[in-house]
Amino acid sequence: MKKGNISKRKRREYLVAYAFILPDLIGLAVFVVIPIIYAFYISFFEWDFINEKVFVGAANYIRMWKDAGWWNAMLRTLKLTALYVPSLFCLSLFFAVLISTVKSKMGSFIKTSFLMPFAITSVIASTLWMFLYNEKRGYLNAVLKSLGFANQKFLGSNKQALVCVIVVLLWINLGYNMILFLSAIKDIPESYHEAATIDGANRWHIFRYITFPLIRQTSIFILVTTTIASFQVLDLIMVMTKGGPAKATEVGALYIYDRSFNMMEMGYGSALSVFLFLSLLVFSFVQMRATSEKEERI
Amino acid sequence: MKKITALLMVLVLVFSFSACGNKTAQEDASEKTEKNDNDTKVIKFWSFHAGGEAEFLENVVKEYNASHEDVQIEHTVVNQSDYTTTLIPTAYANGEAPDILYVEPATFTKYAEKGMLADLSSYYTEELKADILPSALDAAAIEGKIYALPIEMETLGLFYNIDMLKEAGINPPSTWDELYEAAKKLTTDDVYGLVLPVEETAYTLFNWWPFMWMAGADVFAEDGSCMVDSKEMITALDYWGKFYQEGLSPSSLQIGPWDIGNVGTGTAAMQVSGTYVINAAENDYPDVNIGVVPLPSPNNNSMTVAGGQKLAINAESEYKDEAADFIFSLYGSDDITKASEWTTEAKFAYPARQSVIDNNKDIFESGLRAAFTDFYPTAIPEPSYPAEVTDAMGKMLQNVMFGGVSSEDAVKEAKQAIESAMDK
Repeated sequence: MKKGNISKRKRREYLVAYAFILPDLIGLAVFVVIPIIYAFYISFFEWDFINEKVFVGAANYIRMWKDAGWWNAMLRTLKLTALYVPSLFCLSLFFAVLISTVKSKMGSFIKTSFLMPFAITSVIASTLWMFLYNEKRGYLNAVLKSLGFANQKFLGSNKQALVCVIVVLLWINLGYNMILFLSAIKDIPESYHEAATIDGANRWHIFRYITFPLIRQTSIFILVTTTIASFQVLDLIMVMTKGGPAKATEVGALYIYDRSFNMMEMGYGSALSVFLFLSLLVFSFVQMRATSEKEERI
Repeated sequence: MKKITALLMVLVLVFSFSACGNKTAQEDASEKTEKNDNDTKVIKFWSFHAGGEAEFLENVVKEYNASHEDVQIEHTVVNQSDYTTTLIPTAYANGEAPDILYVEPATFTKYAEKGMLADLSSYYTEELKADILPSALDAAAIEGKIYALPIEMETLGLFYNIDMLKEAGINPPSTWDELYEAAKKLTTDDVYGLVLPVEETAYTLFNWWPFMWMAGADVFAEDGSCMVDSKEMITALDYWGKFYQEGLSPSSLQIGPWDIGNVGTGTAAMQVSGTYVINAAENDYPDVNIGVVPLPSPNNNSMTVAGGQKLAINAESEYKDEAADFIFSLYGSDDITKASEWTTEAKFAYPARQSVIDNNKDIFESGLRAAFTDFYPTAIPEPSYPAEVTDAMGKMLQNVMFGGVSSEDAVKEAKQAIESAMDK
């Protein structure tokens, strides 16, 4: 027994493996990790892009603490997350289960049409939906009118605007998450379903006790990635409302953009970004912890 | 066979993308090699224009480059929304900012106060200073030093659909009451009475200033104190807010509020917009009868606001003299052909120089332009405030327009924000 001596073959395998991963790692390091570290660094300075950076210690963080505008923006972000994540999760799961029962040709047509919104850029999706949401000439109000309802303001109403943005987000991302669920569901062996049906289980029982537990990994993945994405929504809002009306859609990411570029306060913007990053980190950690604990209990 | 066809299609796609990309990269590369021999000074000039304006710029740059061996202007076009928000500050941060750039009231003070713009006072001759309209020169100066070269003045007016108003038996409004009544009468399920800007942007403030001034209000008083909470400001806010609160003006817009398509496509009866849409009104909507009148006023004191781009030079540029030579030869020299061409052919705007107006009377008196020329003397240059002030003012407007906040509360909040920003 030779201890500590990795065979030549094994070593070469590792080398090849790392060589394949290296390009991606470098990309990650340069475009993700280093900018994050740099943002940490700048958050301790005052910087307006032009002049020298001025070291101000924790001043930016103290300012953030007292900044009512920021906390309002974070509240709106949380509201968006609270409405968007559960809806996306349930809807994509629901459609995935539904489609998993459809046979071949119809199935692939449906899958393609669900996935199409994901393929167009968010700017085009926003423009498309602005047409639909248009108060006097839009398609949605035309339908509502024919059903006897009054014209809705949609993006022009500070009560409805955020929900309207969420609807567009759902429309874009439903297909992608549905496909993820679908592949997870397809991985479950048919024999499980057959056995359960023989034992007298109905569709709901099958879903709750067989399907849902077995797609846990995918569920967690979708939950965490959707939450992270919902904290970062910016492009849709920039195109559709620019944070309006009267700040109804000004979420954290937009607030950071505004401070950093319009007010040219990059140091403060970086501090806010760092906070957003850390809170997302905590959020995701808690989410993963909560969902893995359940597994141990079974 | 299926696999091969699929592979072929992918290859074709990839090649067509790279071919498109390579063409422009090659053009750039060869241009650069031409310019970079023999110590030619390359001056970077970034613009965001399209159409006729872009053609004008391409031509003048080519002409200048042909007649100057030692100085070459490298003109790049970038998109407008990036230009005014993230592009310029990031370029400065990277040390890659252009030598010549455009500034507008929303960015002028911001950039000048941070030392981004070169002092151009020495390049102005006394004749030029006398020729430039006093208000335009004031707007380009901070504490006596001139940091930009005004090239155009774009003013606002009230555009309207002549036929729609005639059918409803309404005369083009000239007072605030008439405007309100007209908007109310003309608003239907399909049509907005009056289109005003909606989003919290510099453009919305641009439209707001004349309304504020006509009510007798202003942000700062003569002595520099903040008078945002005056009762005149409240009057102006109440009036402006009414249009949105009562649904006479839209709460969200598909196309820009400046886009004359709002009136042109029949979505609105009236619209506040500027000299910059006259060409579009005449060319894109020839079948719609569009007229323009001065902005209605409360006390027979109609006035309008004059915005427009200015040219500035990067304070960190190595070739300030050469850059100045280029822009002053276009817009600041005794030969006013180029300056005239810019505001009469490339686009329509008012020039910043009296001599150009005098020399092109026939253009300034034709069609919709005549109306603008009439009320041109009432134009006050768009103010250029620090970012914190415009932020507070924008928020104040949004609160009243859509936030259900009373004008009294909105002005109080704005005053607090402005005063604490001024204290810093």
